[in-house]
Amino acid sequence: MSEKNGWVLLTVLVIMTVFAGAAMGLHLQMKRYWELDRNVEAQMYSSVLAENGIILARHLLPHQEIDELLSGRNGAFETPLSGAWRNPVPPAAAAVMDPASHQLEYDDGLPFFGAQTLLRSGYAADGGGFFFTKFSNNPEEAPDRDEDGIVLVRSLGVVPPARFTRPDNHTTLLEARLRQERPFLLKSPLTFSAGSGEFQWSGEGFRIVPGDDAPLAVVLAGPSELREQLEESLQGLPGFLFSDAVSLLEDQTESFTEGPGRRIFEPADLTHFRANLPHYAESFPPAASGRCLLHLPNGGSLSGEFDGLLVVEGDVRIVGDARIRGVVAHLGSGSLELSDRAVVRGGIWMLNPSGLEQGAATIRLAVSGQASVVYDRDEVRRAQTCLPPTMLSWRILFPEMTQ
Amino acid sequence: MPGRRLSCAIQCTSAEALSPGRRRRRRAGTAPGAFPQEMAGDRDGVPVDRRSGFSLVEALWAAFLGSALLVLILVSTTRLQTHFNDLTRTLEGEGNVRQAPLLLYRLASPAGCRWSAGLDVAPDGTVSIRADIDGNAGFPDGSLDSSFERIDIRKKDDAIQVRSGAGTFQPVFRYISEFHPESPRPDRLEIRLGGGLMDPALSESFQKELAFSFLLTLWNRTDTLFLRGEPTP
Repeated sequence: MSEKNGWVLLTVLVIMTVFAGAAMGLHLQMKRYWELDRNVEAQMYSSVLAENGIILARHLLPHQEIDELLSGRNGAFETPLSGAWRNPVPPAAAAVMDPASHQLEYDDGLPFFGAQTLLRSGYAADGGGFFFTKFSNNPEEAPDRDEDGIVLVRSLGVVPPARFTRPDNHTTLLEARLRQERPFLLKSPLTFSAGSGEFQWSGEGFRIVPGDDAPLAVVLAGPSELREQLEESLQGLPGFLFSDAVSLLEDQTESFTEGPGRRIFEPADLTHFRANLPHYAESFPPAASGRCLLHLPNGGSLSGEFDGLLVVEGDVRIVGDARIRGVVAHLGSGSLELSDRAVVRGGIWMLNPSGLEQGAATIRLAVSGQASVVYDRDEVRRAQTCLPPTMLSWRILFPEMTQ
Repeated sequence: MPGRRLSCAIQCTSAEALSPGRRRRRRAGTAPGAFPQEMAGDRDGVPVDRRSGFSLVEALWAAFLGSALLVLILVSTTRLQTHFNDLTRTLEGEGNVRQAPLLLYRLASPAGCRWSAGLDVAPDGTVSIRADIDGNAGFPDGSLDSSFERIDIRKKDDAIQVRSGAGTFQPVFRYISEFHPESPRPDRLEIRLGGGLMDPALSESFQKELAFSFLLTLWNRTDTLFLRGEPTP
């Protein structure tokens, strides 16, 4: 090789080195921002996944018995109460685990239906991410025993790392504090809460069929003449109309006003409930979407079929061959008439506490024809699942915060 | 003059003009004119290959092409550098702007987590977020004692600045041309965000605006069917 060719080679090498260096620098810079972009995207995605877990938990909670939920399907609370035991997965493990194959060690706090435990492993979303969700009791109570209907739910969104990026999973951990709402958990086919009442029992064709408790119940949250008026109305009625129950009337004030459902007797709470009901309930007729909360604010006549929780106000007639499974809650003043062959399987609650409306807190009930009210505990409980849990708080948890 | 070589076409004929070295070579028998036809001697009589070197035309061409190549390289390098700078700034700007929603979401979404006032958008566009998300036992305790429980966000110049706790505003993102927060409802925070890559220093093809808006729903402040009724500790 001649001396001249050597210089040419050197020059070409220098130029190539300069260009290669510039290209490499550009590549590294682009890679850095690409990684940054992917990281941001993955973090956002994991946040969305975690939020999905919270939303799923909100839908599952009304269908769960909290005490059973806290201990899991095997009925024994086994989780060691150390570290971040409320988390579905500890933060350190969440960063390095394989979310596709990871299974939670204990079933405590995992919802289940029958023999099937849900969310034992991560819920696989379409975009390649996963979320893990777990319930735990609120810190004011024992981990395995609930009384206030409040639970914490923690949801972990996990997104596996993209190729050529950092090796760790992208994770977001959210916590929501939810309160299960079951204010209409009746024990008797007919329950009354008001300052006073007017009752008409016409004929001998109707039937009031109780469960384990009395066919008629009063819940007296304040001064009331209701019990006396009800007893007076029952004078002379044959016992078979009430399935020959040993006791026709029972005062259930204590069990209602000392439980989690006591808030419904507070005028502010009941007013809030009535004001927000239209946003959550359907108006008549219910759509075929399966929603089970129906609100009739202006009363009316019902003769069809309905499953779920029926909240009515004003003057309401349940007539003809009406078939209602669940709970009928009659709010405020106004009247409720049951006649013809109407059947309510579940329970009826007429609720008009003092202070709810201007004027006398009076309720009016008229039962006639061959109408029947048959207490069914399962239908009553199923009607409660139509009520969404109340979200009391929501927060993002960072690793240094979790306990 | 085709065929003429410029390197040395002069034959030395004057013995008087010869240097002592040349005289030695001449005494050695290397007489003038004894070179092969293609060879010529320099003034010292050293044989020179007439076929080597450049003709004038070649030299001119070489100079022209060399200059053109140099100009080309300079222009290319300058353009490459400009594009490199533009691309770098674009990447940086986009990276900044695209990170902003994530950070703002993380900062703002716990607003009013529990028992605290929550969210306020001042007329000057400063967003104040108060979120009781932590406490000594790891749960909200009713006090905003951690710095990340009191966050203020604002835009100043082309940067989004964040202040946590009692600290001072610190720039977090640059290249922000628009930051317009609004809270039309207690449970909503809407932020219109614009990325400012409209710098005159950038090439025209790289000047673009990354504008978007995002709507943040503050779950803890949404309507509920039942009153929350949580006690204030």
